[in-house]
Amino acid sequence: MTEQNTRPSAIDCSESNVGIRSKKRHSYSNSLSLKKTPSPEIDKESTTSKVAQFCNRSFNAFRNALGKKVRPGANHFKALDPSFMQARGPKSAPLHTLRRSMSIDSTERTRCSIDRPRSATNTPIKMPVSEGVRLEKMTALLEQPIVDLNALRKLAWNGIPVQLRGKVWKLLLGYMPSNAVRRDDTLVRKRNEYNETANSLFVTGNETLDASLKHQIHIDVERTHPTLKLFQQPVVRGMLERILYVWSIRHPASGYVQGISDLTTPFLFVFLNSMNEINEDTSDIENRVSKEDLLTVEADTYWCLSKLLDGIQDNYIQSQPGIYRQVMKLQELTQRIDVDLINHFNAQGIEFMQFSFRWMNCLLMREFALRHIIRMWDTYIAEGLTGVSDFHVYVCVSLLIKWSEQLQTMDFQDCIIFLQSPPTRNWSDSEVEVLLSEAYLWKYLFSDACAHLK
Amino acid sequence: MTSPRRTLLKVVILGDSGVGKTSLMNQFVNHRFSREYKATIGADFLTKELEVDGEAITLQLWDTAGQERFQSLGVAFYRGADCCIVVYDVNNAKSFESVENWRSEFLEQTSSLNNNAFPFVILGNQIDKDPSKRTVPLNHALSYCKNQGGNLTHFETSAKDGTNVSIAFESIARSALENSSHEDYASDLTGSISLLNNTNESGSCAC
Repeated sequence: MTEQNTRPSAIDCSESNVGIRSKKRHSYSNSLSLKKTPSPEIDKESTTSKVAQFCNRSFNAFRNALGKKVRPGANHFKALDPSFMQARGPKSAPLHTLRRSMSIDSTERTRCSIDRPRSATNTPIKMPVSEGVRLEKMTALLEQPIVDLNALRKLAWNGIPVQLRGKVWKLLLGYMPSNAVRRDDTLVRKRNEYNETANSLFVTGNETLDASLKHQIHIDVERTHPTLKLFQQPVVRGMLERILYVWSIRHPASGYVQGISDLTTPFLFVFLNSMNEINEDTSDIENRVSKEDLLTVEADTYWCLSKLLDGIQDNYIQSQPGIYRQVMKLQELTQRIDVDLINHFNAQGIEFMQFSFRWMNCLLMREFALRHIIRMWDTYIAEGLTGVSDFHVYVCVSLLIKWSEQLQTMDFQDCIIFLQSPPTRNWSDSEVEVLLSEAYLWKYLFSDACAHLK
Repeated sequence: MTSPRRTLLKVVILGDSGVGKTSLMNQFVNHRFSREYKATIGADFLTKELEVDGEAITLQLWDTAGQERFQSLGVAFYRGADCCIVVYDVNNAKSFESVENWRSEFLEQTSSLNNNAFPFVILGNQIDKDPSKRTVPLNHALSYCKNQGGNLTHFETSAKDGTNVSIAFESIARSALENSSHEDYASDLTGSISLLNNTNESGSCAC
């Protein structure tokens, strides 16, 4: 506890830590580099504080960079335009200097999180909220007669304690009413509505079902998380099949598209996980959870999936324009942040569609372990409606920038093979935290800039 | 002056969902069969180095998703292909009926100059299953390939036990190699090739 008292209460925002346009640029980079191999006896608390300080500083660097050029002029985003930077000559700190300074050294085995300021650029940045404090704060929020969703979002952005995750997701997705008085009735009504629809479709027998839709869902559910025992059990597969079938029938403009089965599993897992110690390897779910509870989980999963997909409906309609837009945006952002990488891709004939289509279609579920996807979804859901369509693209661009130097040494084949099976599946928790922080910084820099330049 | 460089050949594999495209690719590339493949989204990329008729080649294989919804993606993966594989499941008649759709969709999206010459290899997969389950007899498939009049080769395979997989892919590599060398000639000797093209086209388009 004494350790916490020694933490700085606010961050050093002085020019020397920013060094974007001055000769101090290098010292900025140096000041941000953390020890690559911490000694084994390194104090975790102080390391956490260091990483947090680092994140905050790099964030501030961006903020100051913006602040100096942004306000109050209208041409502020010229400062971020690579061509503009290049025109000013190499000494004028092109964007890739920022990029390099920004790649956070995640070899530190620690949790890193920043408390995001929501709006004003001058909001002082707080130190990371530890797990226990977050749990306490969040529990207090959830006990309010009307839950303050904005406050909940802020807390949830940095990760939701496992015991509260199911409830917080349901609230933030707008499935569970924030008003406690209305909560039970609404949930009962929604669950009944789902169960009645599912029963009316399935109870009458298979002959009334759309055979090709049922076949497609069936073969995909069999291939969903094939290595996790939980998803191999007939009872869980049955739940998944019904959820997907009902969703497809209720959303005829899109219908079932491969990959949606993947997107259903974080909900199913989180809601099951809150019951009787169920995990990825549980193989006797029927002995652990009652039939009534399974029905509840199934209905909740259906409604939360629907809420999530509402934000990305045009990813799955004919010709998938939403995905094309996201891939275009990823390309555009990469072009602005890292011209060298784009030039390399062009020289090798690499198209973004060749590796990033799946990143968008399955929200990186094929690239990360399920527990990390669930952590990422805390942030996506906290981001609100645009979390899965917009913030996700910044996560993708952070990945590309992170691997940029490596990719630039590879030819077409090696690049595609690397990007199609990136090392993210074996990442540590802290690497995921850092990725989300980086994505936040890129979003902070660019989210309004694109529109401004058009 | 033989070049020490390997010849790069691009091959695209198409077919309905669940017929075994990913399994075939992995049996060919890694000599492995697994029940743990996930549904392919977009397209997966694999490579395989091999030697055909003394020539060292690298096959770049694009294993595409089977769901129709992803067809609009096609052009990103089809462009520049030297050979196209279309897979069906011998136990699923509908997947065989789709073969022609996949073939014409591919030709449409690549707008190949000489559709009849472009090599397709048609694979009837999952022959390891109980013969009583089979719904696509071999002679149906053979007569389809014959009647199409294009450059179609047919094999029946099992990705599970490896039957015919290496033979089929050797034929695929050879077709791709031939096709790519035709293209090379085409750029050098446009006159003679266009004559050949015309002959072929007049054979099938006399209506």
